[in-house]
Amino acid sequence: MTGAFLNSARSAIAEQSAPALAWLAPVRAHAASSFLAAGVPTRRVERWKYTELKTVAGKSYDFLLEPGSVEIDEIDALLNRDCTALLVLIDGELDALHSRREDLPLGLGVYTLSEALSRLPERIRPLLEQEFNAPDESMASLNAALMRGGFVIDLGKNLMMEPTIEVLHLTSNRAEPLAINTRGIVLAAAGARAKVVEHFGHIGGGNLLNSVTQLELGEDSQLHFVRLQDLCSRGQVISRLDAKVAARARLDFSQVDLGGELARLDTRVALAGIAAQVHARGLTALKGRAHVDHQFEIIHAARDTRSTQQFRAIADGRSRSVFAGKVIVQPGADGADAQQSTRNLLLSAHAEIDAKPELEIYADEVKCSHGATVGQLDEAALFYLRSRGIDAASARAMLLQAFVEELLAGIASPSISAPLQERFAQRFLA
Amino acid sequence: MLNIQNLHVSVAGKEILKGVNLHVRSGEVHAIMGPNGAGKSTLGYAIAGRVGYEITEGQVLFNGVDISTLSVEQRAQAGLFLAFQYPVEIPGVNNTYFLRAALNAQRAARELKALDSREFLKLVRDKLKVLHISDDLLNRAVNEGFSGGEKKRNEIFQMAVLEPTLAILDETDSGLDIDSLKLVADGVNRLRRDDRSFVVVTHYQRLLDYIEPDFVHVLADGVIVESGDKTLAGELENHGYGWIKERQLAEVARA
Repeated sequence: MTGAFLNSARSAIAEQSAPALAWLAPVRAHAASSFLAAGVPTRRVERWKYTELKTVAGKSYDFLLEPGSVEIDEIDALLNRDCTALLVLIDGELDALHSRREDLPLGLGVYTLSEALSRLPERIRPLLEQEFNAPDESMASLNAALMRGGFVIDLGKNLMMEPTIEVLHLTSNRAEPLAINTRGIVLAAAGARAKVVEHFGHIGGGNLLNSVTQLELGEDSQLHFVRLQDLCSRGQVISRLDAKVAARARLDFSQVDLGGELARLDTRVALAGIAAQVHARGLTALKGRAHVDHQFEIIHAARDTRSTQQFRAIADGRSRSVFAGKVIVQPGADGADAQQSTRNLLLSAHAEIDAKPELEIYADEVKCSHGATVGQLDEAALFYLRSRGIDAASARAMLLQAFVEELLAGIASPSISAPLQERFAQRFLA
Repeated sequence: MLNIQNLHVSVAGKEILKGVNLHVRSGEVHAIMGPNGAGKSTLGYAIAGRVGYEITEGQVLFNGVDISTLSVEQRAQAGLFLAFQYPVEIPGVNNTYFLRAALNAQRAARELKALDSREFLKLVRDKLKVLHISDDLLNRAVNEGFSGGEKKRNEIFQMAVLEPTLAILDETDSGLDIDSLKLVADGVNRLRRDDRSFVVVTHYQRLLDYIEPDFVHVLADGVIVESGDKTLAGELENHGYGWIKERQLAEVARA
């Protein structure tokens, strides 16, 4: 297989220095051969049929960069000041100036990936040894082969409060586009509770951020994981997110995407223990030529597990939003309850929305439902508002805002959802 | 105030109104009765300017102005109000927020200063008291999960706040029990003024026991076939709409 991307990746794999940890070397080597065999995914691969990576595949990237810098005022606008700890990563590496990790409560550890590799290597080893061998996972195997930078959040058993930790990804502007492979890990011990925000901020200069994030929820733990994407530029983000939820634990997953050139999310949640739950919600609001493709899979692997999915998308201009939600109920997962709904608004004749709900049920006693709608703003509601004297543009804005706020209201906390509502309003209602 | 001349309206290519004439002066209450499918709701929608209700002939003059070139919101800003037969549920839009936006849009069009939230709340409380409406409707989304009676009362409440000069009530009585009907009629009666007119569209005479009209018109198959005072409503109630048809046939036979 040829292509500028593949060639630059191959040289980077050959050039990178050996890892400090002996066990990491074979992991990398296996991942590298797996990626080089499969290459950059094409649309012939089922999970990639909506996203064309030709522009990525045809470009040469710098994989082994030294960290750069981002204009300060740009960072300031994106900083969440209302959290227990804040980790700012520029090109995957720690930006000590803007990060805040002082006075962490007992039981909370917030590390960069390299810190975690030297301080708790055996804890994260099983996650780093995860293999991504399927053809549709080749970008995740690339991540494993060239992983540099990222974060590890350790939520201990003795954690007495519910902290909020935010990780903000930024990339610098360079002459040659960067391909940044970051790894994020959240370990929630039994009974721990926390909110974690992974925020993809400014991804500049045609850079590619190829991330893998792994969440491990111990028994009875509760994690609200928020994934924000708010790309103000030509950035491209390809993300794989895996979550494993143990018995009686609960994952709340919120995803908000307000555009960017190309974003692809591949989220896979395994409800592994009895009565494990996941409640997922997402909002994608696009205009211009933005392209967001979200593949979302939930596996019910144990008895009495519950999942809900509520996803909404708005597509304006020439944008395209894809949501493929799949629920698999494995044999023996009796008592599973899965509900899925997606509602989509198409605001322009040139925009496109693809909504694909799928259910695969291999157990007997289950409750599953799904529904998907794609439509325009409700004509009757518009007429009603206008008949009271509200002009057409304001009536439209009111309905859009309502569509969005219903969803954003359930996301973590006002300190996270309020700036999103503001940014949505700036971009779509102005 | 409202002068409708030879109004023809088509919906999806089908002619529904076939030459309606109606003249409503200031302070008058006109009832429009008629069987299902006569075009009663079409008349309301056409006057309010709903998309798809095309005026093919004739005109609607409101205070001397031909409103066919005005947008839906401009007609509302000019003082026109349509109380819907089926008020639309709008999840996520707060009732108070919506109504304040509407009032301020109308005030802006009349070059009046916008009301801030405190001034607006005071106005709203005053109106609620008069109309015997509980204020929990205010904090909910527009019509969402409202009972039939609550929806209709919300329409009357909006009318009270927006203070139109002409209100068209489209089957405001439909789906109401007698207590709700009395409350709604009572609300309308309190809003009657010398400079405000009403067009009350209804299938049944029942509502007119509580809102006493100055004139009653019968709309059948897209035209007004009979006009009279309030006693006409009583006769219709006794004889049914078939009676009108028979009388027309008799007239044709005599001629």
